[in-house]
Amino acid sequence: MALKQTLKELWHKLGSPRWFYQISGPWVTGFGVLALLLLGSGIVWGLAFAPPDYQQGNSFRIMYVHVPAAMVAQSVYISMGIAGLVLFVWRMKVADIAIAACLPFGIMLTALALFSGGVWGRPTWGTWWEWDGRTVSTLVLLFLYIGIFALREAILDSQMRARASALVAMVGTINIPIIKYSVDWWHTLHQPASITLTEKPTMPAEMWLPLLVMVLGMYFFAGHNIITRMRLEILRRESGTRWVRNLVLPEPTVKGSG
Amino acid sequence: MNLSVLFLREWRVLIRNRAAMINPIVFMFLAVMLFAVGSPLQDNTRALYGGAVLWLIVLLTNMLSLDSLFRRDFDNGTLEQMMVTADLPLLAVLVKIVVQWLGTGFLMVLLSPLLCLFLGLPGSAIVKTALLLLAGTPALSLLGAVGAAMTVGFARGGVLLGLLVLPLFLPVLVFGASGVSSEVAGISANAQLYWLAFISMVALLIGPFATTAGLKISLQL
Amino acid sequence: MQFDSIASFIAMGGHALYVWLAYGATVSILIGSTVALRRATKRQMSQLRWAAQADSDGTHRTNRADMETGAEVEYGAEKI
Repeated sequence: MALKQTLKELWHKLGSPRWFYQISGPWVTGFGVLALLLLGSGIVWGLAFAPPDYQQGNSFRIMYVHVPAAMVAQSVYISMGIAGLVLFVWRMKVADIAIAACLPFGIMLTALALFSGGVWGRPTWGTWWEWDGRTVSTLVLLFLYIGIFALREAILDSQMRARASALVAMVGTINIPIIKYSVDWWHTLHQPASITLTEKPTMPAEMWLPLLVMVLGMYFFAGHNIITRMRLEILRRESGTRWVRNLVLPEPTVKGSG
Repeated sequence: MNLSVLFLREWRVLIRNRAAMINPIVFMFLAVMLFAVGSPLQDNTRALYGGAVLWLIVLLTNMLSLDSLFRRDFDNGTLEQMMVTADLPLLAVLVKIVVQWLGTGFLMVLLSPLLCLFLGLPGSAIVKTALLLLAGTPALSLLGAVGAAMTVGFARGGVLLGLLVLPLFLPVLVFGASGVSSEVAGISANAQLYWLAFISMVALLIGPFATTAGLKISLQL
Repeated sequence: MQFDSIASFIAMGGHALYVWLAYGATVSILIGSTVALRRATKRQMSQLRWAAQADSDGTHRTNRADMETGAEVEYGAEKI
C-alpha cells in the first residue's frame, strides 16, 4: 500500500515541469559522461581495432556510426508515441515538452543515418542511393517526424498543438510495425539477393562488441540531448514563474532597500 | 440520432455536392491520361508499371478528396453540433468516413475495369484489381480521416495533410501495387489481398477513434 | 590495431573518403548539437537572470514604458 502511494506521488510529481527540471540535472551530467566514454571508445575501437570485413574491407567500419543512429532514431520516435499516450491520457505538460524535444533530435539523427547509409552504399553497392528496404523505412521515419514537426509549426494555440502532435505521434507509432513489415516484404520481392549490410549471424564478437558499445553510447547521447532540450524548453515556458527567478538569482535580493 | 438518419444525411450531402465527388474522379482519369502520354509507347512497359501507377493515383486522389471530408461541416458549424449532440460521436464520424469511402474508394472499385483498360493492364487482372481496391481503399479513407481531422482547422491544410497521411498510406501502396503486378504476371495475388484486408482492419480499429479525438482537438472541445 | 602505420590508417584500404565522411559527419553533428544546446541554455539563463534582476531592483519601470509604446514587447509578455 505504501509503495503504491509513493509511486502515485512520484507519477504526480513527474507531471510538473518544475520538479522535472530539479531532478533531471544529475541525469544530464551522468548521461553525458556515459555517452562521451562509450562513443569515444566505440569510435576508436570501430575505426582502428575492429577487424575489416572480408567482403567490404574497411568501408564496413561505417556500420559503427550508421546502425546506432538508425536504431536510436527509431526508438526516439516510439518513445515520442509513448509520450503522446501519456499526454493524451494524463494531460501531463512534461510529455508535451518531451515531444517537442524529441522532434528536432529525431530529425537530426534520421537525416544523419540516411547520410551515413548513402556514404556506406557508395563503396558497397556502387551507388549513393539505393531503394533498399532499410533506406525506405528510415526515409519514411524522416517523413513521419517532419509531418509532426510541420503540424506543430502550423498550430498556434499551445494546448491544441500539444494534443494534436500527441495524437499524430501515437497513430504514427502504431503504424510503424506495418510500414516496416510492408517495406521488408516489398524489398525481398524486388531484390532477392544483395549484400545485407547488418545482422550477419556469423559476425564475430570483435566486430559486434564495438557496435554494442556504440549503440549504448548513442542511447545515452539521446538521453543527454533530449533532457537538455527539455530543460531548456522548461526554462522558456516557465520564464515568468517564481521558481525560475529563484533559480537564476541564488541569493534573494532585498526588495526596495531605500 | 439514429444511424440511418445520420447515413442518409451524409449520403444526401454527398449526392448534392457533386463537385466534391466528381472532381477527384476526373482528376484520377486526368492523371492516368498524363501517365499514358508521358510513358514510352511500348505496351509491355505500361503493363509493367500499370499496377504501381494505378495505386499511386488512387492514393493521391484519395488524399485530395480527404481535404473536403470535414471542411464544409466545420465551416458552417454542423460538425461542432454533431460532435456535441450525437450520442456516440464515434459512430457519427464512422458514418462520415464510410460515405466518403463510397464516394471515392468504392467508386474506384466500380471504375476499375476502365482504369485497367486505360493503363494497359490485361483483362485477366480486372477482377483481382477490383478486389484489391475493395480491400485496400477503406484503409486509405480510415487513416486519411485522421489527417483530415487534424488539418480541418487550417485555411490551407492540403500540403500538410499529404505530409501527414501519405507515409501511412505506404503499406497500402506496397501490397496493392505488388498485387496487381503479380496478377499481371499470372501469379495469384491472394497474399496481397489478405494483407490489404488486414491493414484495413487495423485502420478500422484505430481510425475512427483517432479521428474523433482529432476532431475534438480541432474544435477545441 | 588493424593498421601498421598512420598512413594506412588514414587511407582505410582505399575507402578513406567514405569512412572519414561518415565518421566526420556523425562526430560533427553530435558535437555541434551539444555545443549549440549548451549555448542556447546559457543565453536563456542570462536572459532570465537579466529579467529577474531588472524586476527585483526596479529597473523594470523602463521596461514597462517600452511595453506601452512598443506593441511587440507587450505581445511577447502576454503570450505565456
